[in-house]
Amino acid sequence: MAAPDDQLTTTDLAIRAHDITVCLERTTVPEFDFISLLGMATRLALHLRGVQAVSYPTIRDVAVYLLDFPSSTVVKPVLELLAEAEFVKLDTEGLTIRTVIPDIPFYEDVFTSLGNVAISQSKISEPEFLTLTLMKKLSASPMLVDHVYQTGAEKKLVDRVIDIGSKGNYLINRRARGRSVLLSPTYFPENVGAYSDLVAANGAHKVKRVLELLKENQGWPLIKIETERAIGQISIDDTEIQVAKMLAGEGFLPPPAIETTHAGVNSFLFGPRPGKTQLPPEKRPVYEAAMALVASVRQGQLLPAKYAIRSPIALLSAFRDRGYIRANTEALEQYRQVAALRVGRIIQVENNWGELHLIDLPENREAVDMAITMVSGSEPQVSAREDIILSLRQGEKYVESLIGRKRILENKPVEIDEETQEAIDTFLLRGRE
Amino acid sequence: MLFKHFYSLGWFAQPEVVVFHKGGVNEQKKVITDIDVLALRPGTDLSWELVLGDCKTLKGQSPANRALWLRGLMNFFNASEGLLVLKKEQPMEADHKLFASSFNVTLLDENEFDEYDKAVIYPNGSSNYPLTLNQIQRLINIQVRYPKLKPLVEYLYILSWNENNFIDIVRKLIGEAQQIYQEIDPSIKEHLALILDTCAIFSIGLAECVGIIFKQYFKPSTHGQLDESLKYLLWGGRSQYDFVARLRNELIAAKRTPATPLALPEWERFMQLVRSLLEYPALAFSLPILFRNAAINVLFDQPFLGTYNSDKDLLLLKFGMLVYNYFCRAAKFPPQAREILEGEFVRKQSSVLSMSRNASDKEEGSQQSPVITNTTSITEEDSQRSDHKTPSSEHDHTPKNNIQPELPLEKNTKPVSDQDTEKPL
Repeated sequence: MAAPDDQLTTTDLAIRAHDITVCLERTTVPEFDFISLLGMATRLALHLRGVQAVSYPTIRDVAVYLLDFPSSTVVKPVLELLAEAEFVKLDTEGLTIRTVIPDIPFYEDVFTSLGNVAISQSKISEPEFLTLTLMKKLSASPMLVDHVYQTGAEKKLVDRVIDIGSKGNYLINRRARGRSVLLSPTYFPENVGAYSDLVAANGAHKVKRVLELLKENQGWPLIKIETERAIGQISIDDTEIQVAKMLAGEGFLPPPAIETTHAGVNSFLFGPRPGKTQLPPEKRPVYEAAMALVASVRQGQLLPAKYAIRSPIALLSAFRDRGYIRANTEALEQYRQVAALRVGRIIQVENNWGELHLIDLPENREAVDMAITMVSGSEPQVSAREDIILSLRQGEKYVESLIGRKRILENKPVEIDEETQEAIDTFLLRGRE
Repeated sequence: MLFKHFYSLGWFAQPEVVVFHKGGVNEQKKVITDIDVLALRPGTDLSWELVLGDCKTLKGQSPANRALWLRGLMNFFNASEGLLVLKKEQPMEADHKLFASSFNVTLLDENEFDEYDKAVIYPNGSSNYPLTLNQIQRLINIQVRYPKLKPLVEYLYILSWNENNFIDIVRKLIGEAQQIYQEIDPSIKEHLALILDTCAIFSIGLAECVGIIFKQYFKPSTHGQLDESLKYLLWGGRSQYDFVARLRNELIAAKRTPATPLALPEWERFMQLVRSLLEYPALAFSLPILFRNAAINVLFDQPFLGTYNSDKDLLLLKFGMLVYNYFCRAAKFPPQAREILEGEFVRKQSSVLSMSRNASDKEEGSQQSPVITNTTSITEEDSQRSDHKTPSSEHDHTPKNNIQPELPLEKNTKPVSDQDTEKPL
């Protein structure tokens, strides 16, 4: 019997369907009626938030060219699902949709409501249910394939689901230490080999626990984990400490480190970086900056020279709202990396006292907001592409321009074939024909 | 004339506003005085600014005294400006005008008003503005034909203008509407017009509310933050909210029923409405005029919001639709009342979009001509070479700035079928 937190809620249905749809891009899967419809509806809804009335042809073009809907024929059923959820109003002429007027909820309700409506309208097939359940488990941690077989589903079905996921780019089946490990690049976009090895060596349950604790206590210093045998206020055992050490070790991207005269070099551990459904590629530098900020305040909170930061959230909020952090003697070392990433600049006020001033740029403010979210233990939300939302708000001409730009970028030059490449290489080696 | 003047400036103007003291001791409210026109204009800081306008005949009073009277009223209403048009047989002293101007009252002679009007609303003035006092009076007089609607009409046109602050209107107007919702008949156009004008007054409070929330939180990032801030704002502060909530809970508990948190009806919908408006809070201050125009259109069988035809109006029309939808649900009006006019809003947005696309296509069509001409000339030159294009090829030319969406590239879709299944590891 599945543990309660493994059970799929209607919110889970929408989020996981969305994540799978994003990874599938234009790939169609015959078994995925429910997932495709719900995933595309969620994706479109996220991009229509705050947008005024849009003509149906524009919505169709955005869906097909920018949101990777597999074809224009799916747009109408998706809009009808959104209308059923009262997320859009449709102006129709007979069976033809003329105009779409969005009214998408701004908070988390969008997933729950869409999930509820989709469930009431369609049935989830067995492969879909298994896929969604698997994605939910994999969002917390990679797992051994053997454990998937133990869920009670037929082996043939499990194999088919894994195969679809592999071809659809939302599952990776990787061998490590003689065992097959399943990961989702949606939630673990980096260090695939290292995570596989970690799970194969220590067990999925232990890895999952450590990752969950790190998500709730982002930027926790490794030295504290080792000496206090705890992450946050929660005790961990030897295996879990080992997992934490491995996360800072070889195979993984080096975590942020801060060197201070009083505490030496310390690494600060974070949960897995968000995948593309939560963090678009262009936001990665912002995330790096947020990690540097979190590491800095954790240094001040947990490894101070003299006076500890009592509330990292209050400190970061003041940094964002006031524009600076009051001078202290540890600022020069504590915020060096933050300054190196040009989020702030350290101004020396007297002797060894430094004041960190925010460089007031939109991306830096965003980094501070992200740091506050991370320190408070909140998970990043499923995100939408801001350029699409902005274009939709500005009007159809801007949308056309965006579509045109994407089409230009998609016109990649034809890649050279292997035979020709070999001929060129041989010619260059020989120096003559 | 002041009424049209203010409307032409884009301000929401209410004629014949009765003034009484809210803390009066008499059982029946005693009218102190009245203002000919009270106008609301959007301030630069996302709040309303009041302007008082009055037309008076002078009988044994100097213009300066009259200006002082208006100044007193301005203080009472916290208005920023006053405009006084006096019907006077003799010309006004310049010193009287300067004196009045020193406390933000513009003093004008009736004969001067026309020139003033044309200078401010250059070049034609406001005399041709379509909205008239008679039309507003017809709205107010709905209660004569439908006396059961009097409580709502009384609040709309008398009591709401004497509230201490506009935010109180949000709560109280819903309450007033709930008192009479059973009298609303969607088949009667006067009733629909009244609902629209109710939304106009409701939007005054709503806009003020949105402005304050925006200045406090910008766009609240969590549901909880918006929930709490709205509740305290609507009930006049945390302590007031807690007091009323406790009182309510005790009343409900006396009936042995579990109490839900104190909030406006359809609270989640209201939060979604406010959050939507926070995307462009300044636009909320255009809603009262939108609804008043709609009310007049419905009452006089005019095209629904016929003057809103630009694609720049699309977001305002959407906001109007959302406000109307919310208010009808909160007030428990018959669903048909909501559906009829919501349909009008939807059709209006659709037609504006359609007009905008047609205009854009025409513009591109006219811009294409020079390009086609160029192609023709190139073709003529090419015809002298051996590889010239045939004349029909000019029709194949697609201008770079006119992206013609093609059918999606079906060949890019890769179905994953059973035949693709490999043997498991």
